[in-house]
Amino acid sequence: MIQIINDIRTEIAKVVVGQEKMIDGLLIGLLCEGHILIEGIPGLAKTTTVKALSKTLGLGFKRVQFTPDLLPSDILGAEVYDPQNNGFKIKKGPIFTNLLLADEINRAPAKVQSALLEVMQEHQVTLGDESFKLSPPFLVMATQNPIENEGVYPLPEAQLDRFMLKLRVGYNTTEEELSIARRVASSAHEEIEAVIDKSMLEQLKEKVRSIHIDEEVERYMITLVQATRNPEEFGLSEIKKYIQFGASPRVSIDLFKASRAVAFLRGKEFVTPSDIMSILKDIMRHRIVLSYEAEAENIDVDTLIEQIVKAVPVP
Amino acid sequence: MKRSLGKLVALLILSVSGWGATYQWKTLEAPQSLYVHQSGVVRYECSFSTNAADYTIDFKPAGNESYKASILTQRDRIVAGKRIQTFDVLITPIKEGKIEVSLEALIRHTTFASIENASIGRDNVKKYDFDDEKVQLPKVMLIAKPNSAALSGELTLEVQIDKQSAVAHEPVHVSLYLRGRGNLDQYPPYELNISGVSVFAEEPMRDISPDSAGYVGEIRQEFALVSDKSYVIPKITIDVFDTTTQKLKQLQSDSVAIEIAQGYEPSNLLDPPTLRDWSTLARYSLYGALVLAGVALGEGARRLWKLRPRRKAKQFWDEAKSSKELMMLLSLSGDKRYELIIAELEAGTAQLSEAKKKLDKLTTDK
Repeated sequence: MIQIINDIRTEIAKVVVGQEKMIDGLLIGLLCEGHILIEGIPGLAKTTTVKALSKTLGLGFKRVQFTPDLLPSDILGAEVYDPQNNGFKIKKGPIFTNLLLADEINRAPAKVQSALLEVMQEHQVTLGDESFKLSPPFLVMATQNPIENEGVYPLPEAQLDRFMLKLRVGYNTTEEELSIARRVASSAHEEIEAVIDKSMLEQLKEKVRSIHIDEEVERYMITLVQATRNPEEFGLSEIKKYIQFGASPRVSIDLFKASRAVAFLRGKEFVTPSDIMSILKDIMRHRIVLSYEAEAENIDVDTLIEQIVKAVPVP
Repeated sequence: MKRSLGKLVALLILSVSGWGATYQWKTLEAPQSLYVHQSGVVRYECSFSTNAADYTIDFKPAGNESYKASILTQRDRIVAGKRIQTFDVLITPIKEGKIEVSLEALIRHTTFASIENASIGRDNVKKYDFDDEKVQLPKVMLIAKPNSAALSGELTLEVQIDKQSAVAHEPVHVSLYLRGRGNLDQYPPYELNISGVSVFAEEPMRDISPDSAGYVGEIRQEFALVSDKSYVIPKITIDVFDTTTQKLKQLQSDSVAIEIAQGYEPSNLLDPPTLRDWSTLARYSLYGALVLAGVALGEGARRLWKLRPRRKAKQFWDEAKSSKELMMLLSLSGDKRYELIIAELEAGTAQLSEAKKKLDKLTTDK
């Protein structure tokens, strides 16, 4: 089974150098059917990686470039007049696919982002008075620029909560960047081939679901989530003022799913605390709402998560 | 000069009433005649009927085209509860003839209420209020006699010469001292001209202070004489009206012969030191060697600094106290390079110290 994952990685590596953590995050999202939000400054291969992944899967793929003048109907679709039948017919939008790449999602205004809420949670679209179920798997992989950039809108909390992982993409290492420059300069890109189909993906997901989590480890995950809501119960009174809202129950659900996927990617049959740790920040960072004090004192959510991890006893 | 000494010439000018106090101005002492450029003292006195603490006398005597006037001294005292203020005014005639000395003073009267208001700052009052009264002082008549000398007084002249022989172009310094009492402020700079000699004269330096005869003290004027031939410093002569003898007098120094021996030509003196001079060469060589040694020393120090043992940069895993804690920290970092070490720690095949060493090596290899 793990060989299939390695094949996917090999294919992606044809066009993307490095960024292994981002690729792992995307694979976890794929295996858990969780939506992924990738944040990073322009030019770090966010879009390229998602496109490469979609090609290896042999699944339906659509890409939407989010812009400030985008409308909900541009994504979902709309009822349009059909002069031949003298009536209205449904024109489905690009959301009707398996893998949707929402590029620069935070460049669209709130109404467009809200249009995605129903689809992301319930995997269905309502057009007019009719609702359409999307065929599984359905995944939204969104990219965004840091909010400090010009011309971007913050995503609403409700939508952020629907993303399973928020991956932060950093710069490549020197060696990786050298390799990128050489590849681009020599136009040595290779064609990506689909190495997996829908049935194989279902088998992988089944395998992931079968990964064992010990009850003690399960309780550890729940305790971590609880600690974000009531840090004072874990001797972290000093960070309470920085947290406006702790992690939602979706975080617990996603932690269970994602830790299994991490263990699977590491070739293990059971989840250990290190698996949880490796994915914890990606799951939590966009779901903990910081207070004004935290912003004023420039407190980073990742730092708070680190403090919580240190305070909660490891099984 | 004739004076009415010891004799009070009471010239009552004013007797003001209606204010808090009355006052009278008198002339206590005044010369009847002076020579032109000779200074004399006129003493005025203002007597108040009370201690007059709320009165101020603003007296700034001004001369005219016939005489100069300035305050020499003033004295304020209380006698039997009454205030008496005395002014000594120095009068110096400029022109000969009959002179009428006519001066004015300003009597300024404030009130205790004004003083209190200003002291306390009441109603933002910062200054006293005054009622001013301009007062004409008793007039003094005197005769200014003719005097052709610019200077007058009891003065002496001294001329000092630092050497009587020198080599060519070596300066000889001459110092002229005019000492005593008189109108020393009117000293015109002396012009010393000697044929074939370059004379460099300084501005006169006056060390004088006011006196009843005008000024007392000393005036010094320096000259530097340069020549390539022997010469004679002529007699230095200054005309002075002697106030003791009341006659014109010539202050005079002796003439002095200066012997000039052959010396360096000016061109030789201005030549730069030659580099063929071995001592100069040695000196420059030493400077050069010192600069090179400094550069070499600096470079050596720089290289040694680069070779110094470096302190290991603090890593986030340094604070881990157990294998489990280290494993958690590494996992939390999300860095894929640590996955092998994480697996070893989890499996218990690596201990804390061993894992830290591996991490240090990993960081160094990077």
